[in-house]
Amino acid sequence: MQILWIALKDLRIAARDRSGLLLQLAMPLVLITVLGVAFGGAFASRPVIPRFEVGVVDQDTGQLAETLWQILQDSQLQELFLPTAMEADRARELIKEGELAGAIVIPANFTTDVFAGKPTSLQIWCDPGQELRPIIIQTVAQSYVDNLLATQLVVSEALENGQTIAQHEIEALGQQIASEINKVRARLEIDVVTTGKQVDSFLYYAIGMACMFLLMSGSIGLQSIASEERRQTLSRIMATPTARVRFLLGKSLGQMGITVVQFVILYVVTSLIFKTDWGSPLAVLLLALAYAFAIAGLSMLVVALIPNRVAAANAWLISVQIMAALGGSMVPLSQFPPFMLKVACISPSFWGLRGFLDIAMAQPLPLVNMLVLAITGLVAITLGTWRLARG
Amino acid sequence: MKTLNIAWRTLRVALFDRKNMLMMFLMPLAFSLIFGLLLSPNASGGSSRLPLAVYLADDDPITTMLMERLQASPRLIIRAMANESALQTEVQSSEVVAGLLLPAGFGEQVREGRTPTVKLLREIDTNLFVAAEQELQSLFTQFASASVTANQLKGVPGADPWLDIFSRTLLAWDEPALRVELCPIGNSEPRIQDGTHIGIGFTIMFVMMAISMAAGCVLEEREWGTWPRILAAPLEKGQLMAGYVLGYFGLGWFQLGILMILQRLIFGTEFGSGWGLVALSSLLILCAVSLGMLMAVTVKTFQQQQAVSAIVLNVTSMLGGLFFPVEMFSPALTKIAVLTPQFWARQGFVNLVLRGSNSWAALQKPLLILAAYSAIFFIIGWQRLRTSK
Repeated sequence: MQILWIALKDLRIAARDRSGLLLQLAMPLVLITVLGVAFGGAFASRPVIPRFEVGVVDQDTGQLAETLWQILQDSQLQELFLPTAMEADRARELIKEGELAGAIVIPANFTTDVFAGKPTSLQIWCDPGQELRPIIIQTVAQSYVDNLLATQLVVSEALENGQTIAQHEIEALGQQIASEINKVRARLEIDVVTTGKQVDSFLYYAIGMACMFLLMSGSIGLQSIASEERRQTLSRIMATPTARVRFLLGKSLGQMGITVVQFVILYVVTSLIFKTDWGSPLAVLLLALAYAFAIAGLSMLVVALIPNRVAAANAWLISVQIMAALGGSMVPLSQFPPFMLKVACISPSFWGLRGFLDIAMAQPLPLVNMLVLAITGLVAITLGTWRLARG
Repeated sequence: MKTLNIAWRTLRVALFDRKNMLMMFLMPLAFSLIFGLLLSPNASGGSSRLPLAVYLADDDPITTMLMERLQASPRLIIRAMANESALQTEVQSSEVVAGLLLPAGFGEQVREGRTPTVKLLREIDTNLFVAAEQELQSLFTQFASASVTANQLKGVPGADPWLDIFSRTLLAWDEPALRVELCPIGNSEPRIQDGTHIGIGFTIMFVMMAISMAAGCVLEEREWGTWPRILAAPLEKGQLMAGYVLGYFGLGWFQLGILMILQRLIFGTEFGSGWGLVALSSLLILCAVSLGMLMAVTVKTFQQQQAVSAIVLNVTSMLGGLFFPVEMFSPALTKIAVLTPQFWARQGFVNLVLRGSNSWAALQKPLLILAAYSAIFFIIGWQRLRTSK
């Protein structure tokens, strides 16, 4: 009974703390909106970036420049960027000012050199201040050059093997070979191994931010113990017939209650505003309970290990942000290379987020995640209580 | 003199606060490291090679050649699988970014100039497979060229055997006569390092965060009851405000300086030198201090100031393109991005560090806009402080 009273008292205090509510409820909602709107494109099956302009500087005016132009008119490439013919000086100027991401430069004598089999290169002038666009331009240029190179290899091999090809035939042959190569190139069929629902950016960040801010609310328990100490109410409680262990369990229960209430509010609000479909409500609630239990346990352990409560609360807030970044709350887990996924396992929010994602994607119940979180909570709470009860 | 005293005292209090120290140095470095590992598109070093599972359904000189070339790829780590179900399990467990399934008869189809179909398996919640896909596509172009070359010469009297021509053509791709050359156009030697973009972003973000939040300590003085005492001292409010601003300004330079040195030592990011760097950094810090002061006089308690700072700065930093490149933003979002001071601070540093422009022409816009923001925050804050008791 005492445990329950202590928990309820902490819940009431948390409900009255306006700046706390702002941080724990308003901030995640604002962030979900911003991130959901901003990174909708990153959640398509392929990352999308808005169309941009690319300069084409033709210093060659030969046959191959024309071929390149034709390729750039391809409808798929047109969705990616808009090629614009321009003079070298103008392209340079625009790139320097950051107005143009880059330009494909066809150097003088390019066509002649390619046909003669002389080494040459297609240049990509790019703005070092931009991250993604230069890479896209480079990829497109590389596939064009690959095709040219393939043709060149066929011609040179034919010549080497004693076939005679007249200069005027090379062009026609080149085109024939290019189409031949396109025809026999292996087709890549991309199959998704597991079937399930696609998670959009709003749902992802609703989950991600919930995991991060639930973790953050773990500091409420820490701060409440700190403030009981500061206001001398801790010693008064200790003077009442309340066993230390019961006091701590009450605090943990209060902490867990706060986290669960916070989660339910976030769940309801995101479902209503963003129409996010979290998946089976029962599974979501089970996982949320396991997650809240792990958080309560960990915050108790931190209280036990760091005697200076203010320092403990601060350390908690800072590690929360690092854990959340590692756990996929900021950069989506789909961008994590496998070795980073392994590192991410140390973060409790990784287990929570992964589990919520599984539920949202209609995968089997993430029992492993629940188990990991429950064990984390149990171990932490046992260690913490044992340590505190002794000291 | 009084102003300097206050500045010094402010600086000293902030420097002895361990939380401040963690916030100022540990966070930006941890974030740069995590995000650097995650986001840099072509980070060097073995760890960033993407693992790809491969299963070859049959044994053939041509599939063996494909395997060899896959293994030689600088962007991939190949894990050979014994059968198709092992391949599926590997993909499902997210151990690899994708699984390549080379069906039986692949070699034969290549030899006969038919179009082979190859499967790439991926897990639903990853899109790293795109990088592996690119690598495979370019490899398939190489194989197609070799196959066309060899078939072209089939039956020509005196020509070398098919497989010889095929493998020779493939080898020719290692020393291509035709290349794509990436030339960054900057004003000086470009100093591009992986993670520079991210390093710049987090440096700006955490300088703003730490300094604005530290500036909230003014409110702590209210809690401690030292605030009325300061006001009772024979001191102009202007001197008081100037003292605070100067103190946090010093703190900001201390943080930024150390961060720049650490970023350089750990990540190799060169922030450059010269008046441009000094002016830009000073205005960034000034902007953060005045924003923090504004928030401190707007809200009532220290906790509120910290909460509001965190929200405002997190959101504006994301919108300003400090986390993710602005290139990803839709046109509408880009219009919002330019409203944040962080966007301009980033522009300034990008011009300075990546584009190598240290000229007034390149830096004037970021500098003037940051100065304008600092002035606006300061004036509003000053108005509110004057009217407060």
